[in-house]
Amino acid sequence: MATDGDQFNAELLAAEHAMYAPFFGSLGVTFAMIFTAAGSAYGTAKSGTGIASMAVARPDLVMKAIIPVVMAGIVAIYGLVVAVIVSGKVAPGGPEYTINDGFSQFAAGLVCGLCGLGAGYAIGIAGDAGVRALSQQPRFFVGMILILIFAEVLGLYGMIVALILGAT
Amino acid sequence: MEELIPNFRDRETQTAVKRLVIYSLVIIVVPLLSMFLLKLFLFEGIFGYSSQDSILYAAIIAVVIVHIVLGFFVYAAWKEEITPRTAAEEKEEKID
Repeated sequence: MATDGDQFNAELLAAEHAMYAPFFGSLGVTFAMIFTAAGSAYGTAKSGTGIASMAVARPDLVMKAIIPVVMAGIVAIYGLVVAVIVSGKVAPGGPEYTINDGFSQFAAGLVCGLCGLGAGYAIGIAGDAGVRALSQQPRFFVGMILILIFAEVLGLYGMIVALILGAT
Repeated sequence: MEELIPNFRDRETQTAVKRLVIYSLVIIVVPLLSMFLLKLFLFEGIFGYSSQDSILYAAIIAVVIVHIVLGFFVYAAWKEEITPRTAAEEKEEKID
């Protein structure tokens, strides 16, 4: 019985020190960047069309109207930060880098990436409608900023969870 | 184009675009620079943290700095005086 238990422990250890653990870690890095970049790109493009169509009539409002694009850019910065931090931790599989590390970095990348994707979508759609409304009614500025901040914070939540998951 | 170019010659539009370019450059360059410079010189150089810890702290500070710059951006956009061109004037222009 004792030998069975030893063999079981050895197999468990071998499974924990799987050589494919860095695969998941690298995938986490990739997902953190590509999903936030996709969300940021959608937000920039969607609010960019709105800015272009309102700026023909009111180019003096460009400083106010560009804020959705800036916020969409910040979502990509979240992804970049998480990708840089997590990629520094990816190492060859073994006792130093168990499958647990790989999975938690995978989860960190996914949570940051998908939260960023959602935040980028929200910024794009709300920003598009917001800047079009801004050209008609400049007093809507505060409302647009609030909506955009609430959309932006969704990406920030994802980044915080990703840092907790990936950096500990 | 005939509509666009006089708009850019307008002084208010010019200052708005200038400020916009400056703030956009700042919001792109400052966080990235601060992240890597803080890691290299402050956390690794002065505090002597490991590479992993220092990049984490530098990243958190960089994200905070991004939001401070964004706050300045929004404040500048908010403080930009609302131009005298109101909807009524636009209607008049269209009638002309």
